[in-house]
Amino acid sequence: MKHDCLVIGGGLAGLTAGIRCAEAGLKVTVLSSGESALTFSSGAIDVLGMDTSGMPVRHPFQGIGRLIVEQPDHPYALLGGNSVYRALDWFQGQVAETGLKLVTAKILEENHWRLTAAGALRPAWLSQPTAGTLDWDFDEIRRVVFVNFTGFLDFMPELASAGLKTNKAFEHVCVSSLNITLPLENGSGATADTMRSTQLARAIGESDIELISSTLLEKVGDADLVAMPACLNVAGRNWLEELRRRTGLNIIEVATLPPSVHGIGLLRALRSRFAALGGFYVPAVPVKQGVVSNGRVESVQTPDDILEANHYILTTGSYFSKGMTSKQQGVSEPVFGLDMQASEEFCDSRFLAREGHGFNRTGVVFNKHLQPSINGQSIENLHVAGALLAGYDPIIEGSGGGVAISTAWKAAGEVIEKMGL
Amino acid sequence: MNLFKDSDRSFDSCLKCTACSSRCPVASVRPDFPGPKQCGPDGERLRLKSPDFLDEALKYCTGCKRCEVACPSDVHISDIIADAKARYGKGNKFKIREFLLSHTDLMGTMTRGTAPIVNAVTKTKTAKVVMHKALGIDQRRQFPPYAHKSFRSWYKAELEDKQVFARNVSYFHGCFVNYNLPELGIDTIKVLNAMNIGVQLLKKEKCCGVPLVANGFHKKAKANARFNTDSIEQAIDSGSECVISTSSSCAFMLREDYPRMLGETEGNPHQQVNYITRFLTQEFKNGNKPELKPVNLRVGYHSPCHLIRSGGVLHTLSLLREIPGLQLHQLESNCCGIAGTYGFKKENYNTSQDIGEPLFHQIEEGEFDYIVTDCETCKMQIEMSTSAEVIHPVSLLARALDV
Ligand SMILES: Cc1cc2nc3c(=O)[nH]c(=O)nc-3n(C[C@H](O)[C@H](O)[C@H](O)COP(=O)(O)OP(=O)(O)OC[C@H]3O[C@@H](n4cnc5c(N)ncnc54)[C@H](O)[C@@H]3O)c2cc1C
Ligand code: SF4
Ligand code: SF4
Repeated sequence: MKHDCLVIGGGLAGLTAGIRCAEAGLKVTVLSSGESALTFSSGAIDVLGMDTSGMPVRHPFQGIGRLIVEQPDHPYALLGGNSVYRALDWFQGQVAETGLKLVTAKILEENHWRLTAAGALRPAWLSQPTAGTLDWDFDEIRRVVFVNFTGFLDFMPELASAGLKTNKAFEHVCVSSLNITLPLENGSGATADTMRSTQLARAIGESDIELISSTLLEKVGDADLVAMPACLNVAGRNWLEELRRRTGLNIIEVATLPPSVHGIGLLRALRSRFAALGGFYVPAVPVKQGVVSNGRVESVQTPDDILEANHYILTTGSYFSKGMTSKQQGVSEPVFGLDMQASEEFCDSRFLAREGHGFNRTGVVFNKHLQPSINGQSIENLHVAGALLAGYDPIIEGSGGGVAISTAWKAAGEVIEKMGL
Repeated sequence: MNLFKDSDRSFDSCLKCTACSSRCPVASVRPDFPGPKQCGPDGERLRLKSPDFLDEALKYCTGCKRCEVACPSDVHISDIIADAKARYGKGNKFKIREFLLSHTDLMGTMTRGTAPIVNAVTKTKTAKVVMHKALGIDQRRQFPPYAHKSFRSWYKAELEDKQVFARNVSYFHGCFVNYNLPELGIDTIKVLNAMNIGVQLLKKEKCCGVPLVANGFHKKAKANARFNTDSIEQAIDSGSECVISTSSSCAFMLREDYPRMLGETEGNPHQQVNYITRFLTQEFKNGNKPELKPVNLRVGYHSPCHLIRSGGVLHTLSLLREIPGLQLHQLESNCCGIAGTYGFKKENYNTSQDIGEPLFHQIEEGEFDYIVTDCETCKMQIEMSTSAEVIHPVSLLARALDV
């Protein structure tokens, strides 16, 4: 049976492309293998956090306009600020259909700050509802407290508060940490030090919430911001809302070390939306090789089968996801052997150089329709999107989520147009 | 399964990424289960130093292999845990229970001719209390009813002489089809015959061994593996193109685990074993597709853990998509919680039901005519825990021949 569209790779980009194709009525299947970057991510979507001079970006879509003048090969240059905005707006709506209401800053078209587990502040476009959004100016904040539950290892409040203290804007803010020892009512006798965030969420019961509330009111009742590990809103138990209600405090969740409850929650929402639109998600089927002739993909091979489709979208991610492999001869794309843009300086010797690592900018080259090429010849029915693209640095720019979503949205749009829909 | 050789060294390639722990159904509902990373690669390192490091909590692992699906580094996490349980685990007090639950073929044979009585008895309150107290089988469990006539005797009586086709396959029906659900076997033959393929049974077959391994009867499992392998070889030699199975778990055992259990990797017949949807999609693709009439139903598809592990979800989905008129919705990928005989044990009952909760919820909300799944124990669990009726993909296909 022939598919209208086969998406190879089931991460943020693959599911976004799948959802848009399915929404347009295409028969689309996503093939995936292993986990994706989302499982480890904060569950927030960054569009553009830093400009080329290293300054935080307050208006990301205007920032994209400036960025693409300086870097015409950047994936964003194919879309422009307006289209990137449209893609993200559409994405937010799709996720909201599943009940997950990702939030933006209160002011139109502005980034907000999100707080990381290391106490760093990053400009973000969409955040998880329980992580909240911090306003661009911190004028109102005088006291911040990082709270952990004694023994829980995937969140380190001391580290977080020390991290935040190094931020100039927090020079005069009182930042501290607090550990609360919980009885863990539903923990079956296990202690927090053996638990992951998802388990902690289960182990917490009414008596724990009572203890957290009373301790907060007693010890940090005057805090303007209380940050806790993201483990309070899992599997339908929204303890966070309950704590906010009981204490009246401004409490937010911060993504912990992986596994990340928020990242997994976003992944789950995307899969559920895709299935609701009639898409099929196939786990544990790695695509081994693509068969290309005369500038067209004829089929792709999995360990068991040869699969055929009218169109293919490749979203296999970066190194960790095996979308690119790096050997001595250089970097390559293992499924089709697509043309790659290697950076002259593969890895900068200064670890966090301002310009970023060549390593991160390396990737698959593409034309204005997001079609890749082999030995210079474009592949007509193959489109690429997400972390495997060349020409951008998700880490330095703070653009990982935005590039994955907007390029996948565009790749799907190209396929939809070609199918005449 | 590597119980049959030395320690699995795949733990050496663990990257400590925690992907496995994020996907473990048991860890997500049991705060006292340390999860695959700790129990598998981390724990193995320690256990090699001293068996004292064996964590009691290992017994909660269901062997679902979802951790292995998530692992980017091909660590055989579930095998390592199963191995450690067998190697270092102390015996438990429910030996008889483990025996009864795992010897599915023996239990089936014993009920021959007495099925109505056994079915009635296992439903009574007294029997349930006795099973709960004395045997440790949870009294809230429903037992699958035994069929009045086994599939094998039905086949011998009704069909054996009618299977005269140019092409033939052999059918490993397994215990469930034989003793509990002969209808599935009959549907399978109907579908294959409609494609001009004859169906033979193996001369003899024994339980594939999945429940034996899960309950610590490794010697017996290995003996069954040897026995079935000989039968498979014989079938291939006498002209069957391959061996098919309609149970995703039996197929996984025969194809993936037997070679390792028996220590044979080259030239064995295990590669000739196909889960049915794999075989059928290949045939359809080669143009051998029966005429299918519309089946106007709305169904939800639940993918069993071991089918996911073997990459077979693709085949079942592809097959179901061939049925005209079918409104097919893929359910979220959640374990149903039963994990073979695991959920029958009283100490696991709550864990089992908690794991399945999100799936049951989705099924009740979805207003489906049927739930479709490939695995017999998933079927039992879903039918016990929801109001849904569950059918096998092949039975759905058989309906498309009829309607
Ligand atoms: C630790 C971490 C934290 C991050 N945090 C943030 C954040 O807070 N905000 C933000 O905006 N961005 C963040 N990012 C960046 C962002 O998450 C990624 O850029 C984005 O998710 C990439 O999505 P992708 O779909 O392109 O690739 P991936 O997520 O890598 O997905 C690729 C998928 O393809 C599969 N695959 C690979 N090869 C094959 C094959 N041959 N056959 C079938 N399947 C295959 C892989 O298994 C994987 O599932 C983070 C990234 C990482 C790694
Ligand atoms: S096999 Fe299943 S239950 Fe056991 S550790 Fe892996 S994911 Fe958890
Ligand atoms: S997923 Fe694999 S590599 Fe990652 S921690 Fe688990 S066993 Fe190790």
